[in-house]
Amino acid sequence: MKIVSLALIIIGISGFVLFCCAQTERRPFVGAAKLLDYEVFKTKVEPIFLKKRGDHARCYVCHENSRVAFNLVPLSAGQDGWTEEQSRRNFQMVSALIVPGEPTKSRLLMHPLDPRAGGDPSPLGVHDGGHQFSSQDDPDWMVLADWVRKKVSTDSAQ
Amino acid sequence: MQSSKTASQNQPGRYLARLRALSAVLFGLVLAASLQASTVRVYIVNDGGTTISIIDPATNTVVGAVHDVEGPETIHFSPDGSQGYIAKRAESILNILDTKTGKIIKRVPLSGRPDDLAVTPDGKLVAVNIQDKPGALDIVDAKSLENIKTIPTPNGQWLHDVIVTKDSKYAIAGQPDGDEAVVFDLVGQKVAFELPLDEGIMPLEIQSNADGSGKLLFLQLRRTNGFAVFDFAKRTLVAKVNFPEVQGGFKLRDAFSHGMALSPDGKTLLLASRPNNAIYAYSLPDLKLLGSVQLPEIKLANGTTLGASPNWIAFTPDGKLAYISNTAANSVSVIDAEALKLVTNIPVGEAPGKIGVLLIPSGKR
Repeated sequence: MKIVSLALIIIGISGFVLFCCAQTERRPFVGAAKLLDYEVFKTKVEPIFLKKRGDHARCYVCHENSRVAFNLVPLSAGQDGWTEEQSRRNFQMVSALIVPGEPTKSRLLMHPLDPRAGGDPSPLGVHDGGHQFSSQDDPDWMVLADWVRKKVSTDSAQ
Repeated sequence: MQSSKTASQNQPGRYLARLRALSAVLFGLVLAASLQASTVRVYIVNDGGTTISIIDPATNTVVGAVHDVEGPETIHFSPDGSQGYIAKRAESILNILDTKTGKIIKRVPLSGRPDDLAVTPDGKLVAVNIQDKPGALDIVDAKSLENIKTIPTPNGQWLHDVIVTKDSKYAIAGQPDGDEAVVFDLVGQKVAFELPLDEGIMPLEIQSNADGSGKLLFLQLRRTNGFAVFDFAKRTLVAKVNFPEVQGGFKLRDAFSHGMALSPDGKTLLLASRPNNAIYAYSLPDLKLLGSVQLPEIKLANGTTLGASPNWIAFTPDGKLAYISNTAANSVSVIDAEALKLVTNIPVGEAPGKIGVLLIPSGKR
């Protein structure tokens, strides 16, 4: 009887560990912001959200104060960029859509990427803003990917 | 609630230049259209882009575009074709277009960012549903071009899609997060009643009685691969209809059924199913399934396929053709509404969404 109980406990613990691992794979790492470089975000990544790229609507046009997870802070009146405090808030929000070190597992990169170029045919539905990046060679997509790939050490992280 | 200003609003010079360009393009198109009698044009709003594509249903080709409308949200026209109403996602503004001159004649401030709009059949009012919280219905007088009333939603939830009854007395909008349809009294300019459901409401349509009053109200639901039918006068649920089950299908979390249009004669209802990647036709009032039309699939490098993600549907005024915007495929499918056959797929801009149909009656130009 004791052996059976012990076996059940071990199976239960193993199942829990496996479940946690699976969740880590599927969901962005909770502490992602600690592993991402804020300065790179502010100087290289954030400007992409305001950049006019071809015939695409800018990210900001749809994601300013939006209902979805990618929800950018509205610019202050008369400003064409975010303040330090606003950028920090954007950084925290965007970090939740990133798996540090894993661009192709990061929703921020995969959702607006053309599915024919590897973008996610997500069960959440297609990106309502269309295929903002036609390939993983898109220069702006590569900036995002580089930022995600280069994890910073937790000691030096902001 | 007034939304915050966008970057484009912060640059009035650039905006005015864009407005002039937009006006010039529209003017050329309208002028060309005026050479024909009784002209029809189908306007496709490219949600993820900066244009609205214009299709000539006589040839099913793109014959022009409205340019420099970044993040367009919706476009519709007055019944006589004299005015167009254009809204952009990031602006709390309704742009009024004079289709004869092609000029934006007024920018009407709204209470928040618009989601969609509907013009009453008598042409007197434009009902604009607001997608910012707290949700509201703005009523714009089509003659004075003033926003004459903002009616807040009872529960503070945002509104998605809006339709009006043929007698011009009611506007109805859905709440994807509020699980109810809100019916607005356009005469008394107040909330008339609410229709609560057990899930969010996506697009809507209404069938009319001979006197123009509402008969059957059709609602697409957030997590149902089908639709609900209400008796509008009795305010009771008549039926919930599920689309035929298909093997496999395209997986989604929600918004299974999005896009619906009632034929001009009120006898046929077309609805889109995203998991089934198809359009279904039902006869009214018996809700008999008449048939379906498969939409194009997107082939991926790994051998799998994606659905076209049908989004919105609109009929031509004669009811012969229906246009379906395919958000994932960047295309519009044209269907022969009687034969239920796919006529063609037309490439358009980025992430096509809502559809406006312009009819300029013969003798109007």
